[in-house]
Amino acid sequence: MYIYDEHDHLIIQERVKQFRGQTQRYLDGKLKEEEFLPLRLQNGLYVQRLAPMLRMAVPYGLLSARQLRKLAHITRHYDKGYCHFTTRQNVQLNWPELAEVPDILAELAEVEMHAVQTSGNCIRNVTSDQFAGVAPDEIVDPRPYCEIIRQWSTFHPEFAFLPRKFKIAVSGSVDDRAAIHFHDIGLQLVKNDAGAVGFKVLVGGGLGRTPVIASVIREFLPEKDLLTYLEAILRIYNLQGRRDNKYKARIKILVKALGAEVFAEKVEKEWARICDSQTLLTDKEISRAKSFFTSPEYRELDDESVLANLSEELKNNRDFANWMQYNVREHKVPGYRAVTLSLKPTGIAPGDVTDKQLEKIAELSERYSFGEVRVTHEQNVVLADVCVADLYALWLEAKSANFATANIGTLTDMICCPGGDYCSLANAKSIPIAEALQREFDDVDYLYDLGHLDLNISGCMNACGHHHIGHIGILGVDKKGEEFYQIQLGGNSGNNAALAQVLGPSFSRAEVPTVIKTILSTYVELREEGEEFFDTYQRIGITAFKEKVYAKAA
Amino acid sequence: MPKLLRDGELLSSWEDPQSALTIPVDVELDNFIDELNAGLTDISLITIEFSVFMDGRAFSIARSLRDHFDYQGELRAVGQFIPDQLHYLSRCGFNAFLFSEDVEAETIEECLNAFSEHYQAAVDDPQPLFRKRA
Ligand code: SF4
Repeated sequence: MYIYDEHDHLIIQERVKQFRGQTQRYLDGKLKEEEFLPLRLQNGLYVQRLAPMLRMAVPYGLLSARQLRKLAHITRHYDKGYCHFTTRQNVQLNWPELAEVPDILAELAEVEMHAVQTSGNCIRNVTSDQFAGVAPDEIVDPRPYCEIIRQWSTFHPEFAFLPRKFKIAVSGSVDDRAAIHFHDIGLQLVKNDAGAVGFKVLVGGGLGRTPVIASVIREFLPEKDLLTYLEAILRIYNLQGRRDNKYKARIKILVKALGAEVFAEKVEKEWARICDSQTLLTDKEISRAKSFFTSPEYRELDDESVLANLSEELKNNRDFANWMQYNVREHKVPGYRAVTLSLKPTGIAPGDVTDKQLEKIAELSERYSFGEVRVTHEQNVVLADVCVADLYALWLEAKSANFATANIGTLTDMICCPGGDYCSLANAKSIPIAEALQREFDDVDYLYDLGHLDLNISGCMNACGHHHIGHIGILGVDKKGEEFYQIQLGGNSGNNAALAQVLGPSFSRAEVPTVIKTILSTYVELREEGEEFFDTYQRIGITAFKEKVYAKAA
Repeated sequence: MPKLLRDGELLSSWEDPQSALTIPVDVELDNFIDELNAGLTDISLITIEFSVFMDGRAFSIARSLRDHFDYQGELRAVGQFIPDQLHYLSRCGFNAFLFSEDVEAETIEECLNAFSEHYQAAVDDPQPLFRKRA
């Protein structure tokens, strides 16, 4: 994990001081509401339906036990004792006091955390793969590059007043788990024929009102050129992105308007001017960044024999066996596994955790995973380095802390935005939908039989719940002041990036579980041997589903 | 009475250089400079006006003027920018700022010097932090 030196500390402390001053001037009436707005947003502070909301950054999802304990303390002391993991690997407080926010930031700074650029029209927290560094399919570990990007983008003086927000994701593996096709910039780490490390650069993806799959503008960018190239892209966007209409201001609209080729030419032209500048990365800096993400002290183990020791438990305990199958993943090191703690038991808003749970996660991470965790964009928490010999003990503890719902990758492992319960932009509530579906689909055998299923729920078109890229997407809409839900099918966030299609007219909240049930039974009826939901959908298309759902409704 | 912050000094009266130029924020900078007969060589004041402070194009224009066109003269921000942008603006190459009367000197000072250390290179310092780290 990256560790601050005196420079990083100074920069973050100066930020706390700056925001304290801005908040004071605002409270004294010296800073106008509309002027304070972007300044507080760039510190993650929204004013929401019920109270302010503070979004704290978790750079590319990594948290240490110490940071988790600090978060627990903050939620207890400054909030109501719980917080929310977001779909962008960040953490939100729902009820902080505006006047106390500078103190919260000061507390965060003590553990090398902050809320910098978690909102506003600037470069946001860079996101990545929750299995970075441990995934067997990894080409290059993305974390050092994420940290390099984090530093470069933090308080970048030129890009703090962009046309709109700007999100960068980095993937270092064969399977894309960072949704790089749906970010303003998606970076895929690759090695060329000569074995040199570089990036495939994608631009202009995104969700929201106008969902777009990103275009590749460069097949291979040498690693040292990373920052100068990003700077060129951002400069073109800052100068030429639309500012007349907030719904047309994202880079995806500019890339579409110009065409990806023309956009790429402009970037290359700008880049030619700055590629030799001192922003060109050095070997020294790349190895410095890498030095923070070395492997922990793994024991030398024989995978088969440690696994054999679990055979009794696996045989006798079905819950444990299910958990092993769904919540435990392969690891690049023999004898180790990556474990996902599910934050989605039935009845809890997806991604919500209490102060006590945060402390429990900290404890588990120290006992079983070198004191570190990763937050996932599916709103769960990963212990990335668990020894196989410890899995049963971990399961028992996770179970008693309510983290062991064996549902990762299944229907009930839904992504769900805060929606109408918290968010002032919502058209409809999303959490009650998630809960109704969890209650409806409580038969685990059926759930497992359905296989891998991404069900994503957003409370409005802003798509924080990524409904466009769920295999099943649910979108809250407003129909003459009433909450309705549109169903979409066939999205995919990974390598086979696809945007979901609308099934048809929307439904009332009460109808949603039945509709989802019909969709699923249609899949079960029509699937061929070995097909996942997404495969079946791709083969048969939306019509079959449409017919069933609306035949029933009629 | 408006005030001018120029090279860190707050002035209540000042003289404007002779050869001045105003650049609009929607400029196509390459074409614009191509069309100037003598380029920027004998220009000693360029003014960029902010119509709304949220429009960040001037930040990139300033950097291009300094970094790509090697402009050495005064680069002045006027209009609707806010003091809280001073630090970033000056990092991008602005060295003069026109304020209305009601802006307090203390606020200007505080905002201008918000940070003493930076990660990235900019006009004020072409060397990013990573090249300076031991
Ligand atoms: S999708 Fe809409 S309702 Fe949900 S959190 Fe985002 S803005 Fe709010």
